[in-house]
Amino acid sequence: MTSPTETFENPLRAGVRLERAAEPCIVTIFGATGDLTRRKLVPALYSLMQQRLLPAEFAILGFSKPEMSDEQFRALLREAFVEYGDKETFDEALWESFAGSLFYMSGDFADAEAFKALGSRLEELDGERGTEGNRIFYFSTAPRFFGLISEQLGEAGLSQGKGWTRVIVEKPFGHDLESARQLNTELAAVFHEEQVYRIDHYLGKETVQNLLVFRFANSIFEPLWNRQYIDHVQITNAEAIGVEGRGAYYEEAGVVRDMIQNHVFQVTSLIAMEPPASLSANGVRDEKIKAMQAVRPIPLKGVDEFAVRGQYGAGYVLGEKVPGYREETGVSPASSTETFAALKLYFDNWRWAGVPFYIRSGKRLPKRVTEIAIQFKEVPHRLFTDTDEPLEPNVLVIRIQPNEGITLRFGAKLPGQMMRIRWVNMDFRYGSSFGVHTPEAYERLLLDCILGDSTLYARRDMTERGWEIVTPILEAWKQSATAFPNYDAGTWGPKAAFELMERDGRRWRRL
Amino acid sequence: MKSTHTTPRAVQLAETLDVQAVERELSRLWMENAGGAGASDEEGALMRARVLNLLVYVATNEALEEVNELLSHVTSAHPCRAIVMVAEREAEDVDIEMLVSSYCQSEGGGKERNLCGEQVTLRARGRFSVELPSAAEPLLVPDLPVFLWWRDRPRLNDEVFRKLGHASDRVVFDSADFLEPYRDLLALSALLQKERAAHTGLSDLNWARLTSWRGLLAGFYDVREYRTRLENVDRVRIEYVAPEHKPHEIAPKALILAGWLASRLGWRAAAGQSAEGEAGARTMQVERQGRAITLEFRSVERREAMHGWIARVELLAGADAPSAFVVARSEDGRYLETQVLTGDERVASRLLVGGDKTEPELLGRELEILGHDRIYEEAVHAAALLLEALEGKQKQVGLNPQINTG
Repeated sequence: MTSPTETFENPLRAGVRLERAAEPCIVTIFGATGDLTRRKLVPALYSLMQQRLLPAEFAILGFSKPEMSDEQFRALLREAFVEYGDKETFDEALWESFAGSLFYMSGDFADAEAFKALGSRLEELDGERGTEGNRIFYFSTAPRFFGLISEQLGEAGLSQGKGWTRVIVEKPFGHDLESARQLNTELAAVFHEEQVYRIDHYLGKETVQNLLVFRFANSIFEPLWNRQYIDHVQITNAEAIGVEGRGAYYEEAGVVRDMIQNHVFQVTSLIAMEPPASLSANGVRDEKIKAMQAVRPIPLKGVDEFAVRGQYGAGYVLGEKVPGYREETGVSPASSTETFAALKLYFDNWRWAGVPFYIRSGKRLPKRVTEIAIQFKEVPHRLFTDTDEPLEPNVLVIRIQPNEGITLRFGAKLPGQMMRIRWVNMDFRYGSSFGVHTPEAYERLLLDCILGDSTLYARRDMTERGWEIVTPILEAWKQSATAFPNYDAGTWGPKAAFELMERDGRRWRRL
Repeated sequence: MKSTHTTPRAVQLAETLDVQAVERELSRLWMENAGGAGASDEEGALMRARVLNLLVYVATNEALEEVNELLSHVTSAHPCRAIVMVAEREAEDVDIEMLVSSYCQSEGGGKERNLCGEQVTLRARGRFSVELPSAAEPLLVPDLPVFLWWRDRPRLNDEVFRKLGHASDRVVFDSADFLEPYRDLLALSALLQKERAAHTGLSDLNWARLTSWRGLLAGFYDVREYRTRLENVDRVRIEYVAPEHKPHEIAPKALILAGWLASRLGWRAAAGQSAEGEAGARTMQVERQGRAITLEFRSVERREAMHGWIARVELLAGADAPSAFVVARSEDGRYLETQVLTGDERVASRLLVGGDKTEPELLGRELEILGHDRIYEEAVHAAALLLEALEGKQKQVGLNPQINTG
């Protein structure tokens, strides 16, 4: 008989319903004094610890420029934790225990010595905390430092260790195709692709993951999921908020860079992809990139036929008067940055030939809503021609936020003597059917990285493909001016966005 | 999230149970909840949601009131048709009466949608109690999984328990409520052995309460360096708070936890090796491939609400590489602390939220699972063998059927 502990498996782990347990490791956060670390990363790691999803052999090492002791760093995080977290449930003893795993060192990203010191500190911590040389480096800095930090890690011999080493790169991933490629090249010079985790917090959302389940755990939708039955797809990603004090950042970005080329395309690829052979990281990501590679290139000269841009002026949103984009702090009064964009994409493949995907995303729209609407073709023969009402198509709506859920719209006979049809919605609300708590996107993503599962992270080819698709649009817009602002805050974007669909005899859903 | 429960309404019954009458009454209730037939616009509409059937068995009116309260928490995550049966077996004979009610969840005031489930309450007294399963079964919503929550002392050989169990995909009970912990644990083990191939799975809330202990103990050995030390464990000490009934018996939870360790690690009970230790401690020897391991159960004092709880578990290895892996609950029950000690050095320790999950939380988790929990079944079987050895009735038998046959 073999001994249960001779094998690599932990004999006590079988059937313990704590889902997935992580290996010991140290998470080093570059930009550790920043907002993201204080508001999202550390609370997410604390929550994972309390859910017993992290081992005791775990440490967080903050690395930033300001001089600070471990104690001061802990105090800084504690303050943010109390401020942004749930004050009622804050427990001093639990925090103290968690704070024992927080460490800090100051250093300049340009200073090679600081990275050598980082290496020594990590080894020390391995000894103290039993973290077995497993490391995650989290790039939570301004994007201009990503390449530099990566290079320094390589120079200091920290790209490989005695355990595993992974890096998480925050968004935005590049500013255009060229900078994304360059960043990928810089990362690839130091790390293997399997070590690189490019975060797209949209993929951490439960409903986005549910898209995979919806499409591939149900047999009734897949046969309809193609050009035979689908007329077109509409993807809406609307925000009611403006730039919220991030005017200076947004001036450089715009909605295509900020939302469409990453988040919206990730969701689009999940709708358009073929069924993967397995749920492995590359199994899913291979199919996603394959779908995006089928997107028909938008000709530089014909961008207006496929893309519309907009910028909001003053108006009313949710009952409040709001200023126009050009009046926001940090924004040029003559800004030509787009706060709204609508695109029409075609996928040139067997499944989707001739089926347009309409995408719109913008700020200061009437409400916050992200949804995918699959509009089916009309019935082939109109049987009910003597009714007054036009026949509406069936629509399957997958709402990502808020009120995550799925709605199927179909026709039903109105009770009575007449043959009249009324369109009804059959609703499934995700949150309501399965309780309230869904994990925060950052919790899910951090845990995935610690577990070495990169399915929900963006792969190199996907980041570059996103930029490739939007490059002609950005180029054309750079070359020509347009009259901004062209939509009032609190409306669904410029007139041209409606015309984009009306030209094809279609219209946006009223949301 | 706010939960409201309508006043239960009696359904007039003819001589035999009229399922249609119940359904009609529920439909009427829905119409009224929705504010009449016209109130179906997008914002204000009610959603009648059911993802499962939940049969609940209680034995008293007080328990019914508690269950009504608990159900409003459970159903917010698991909208269902709940069929609650009250069997007052010792009361004077009264035929089954039926009440229907609904409960709704709204996420705050105003325009959000309400998510509603429904409840049928069946009450029987005296000899009519045995008719409850036949009254409940026709009320199940077709094609949805059926869970039985037996919220009473488990009566493993009882006819009502058996019939309801057979109608269910999964039976949820609580071995912490065992009136005779030793006798009932042995009966449970026998039942699980007999029903190994049956469709119905069993869920023990007491086992669910052990999940975090098992997770933390298992977590020690996720660390590669520690895993080899598992091989050298030579003493396991489990401290527990005495059970409410039969305080001189070892709490079922402590026995099941020991059974879990034994079944996972392939330990066998060694015959005639149990002994009373000092101050209420019971020790026994188990062995694995000729290596002896001492199991020690020690009863400790805690406040009343903690009857039957685990207070501390230590896995100790001596001699060559002394080490201790400890999970301990703080005296007030609020925290769990884990510690790893090698030699005299404390290598890692941390404090975690410690209180047990509430009953609705535990039940909610169980409602997510269908089918058998083999690890539990093996743990109970091993616990029964340990118990027999402790009580001196034991044959030398392996504790983990899988390891022994493999």
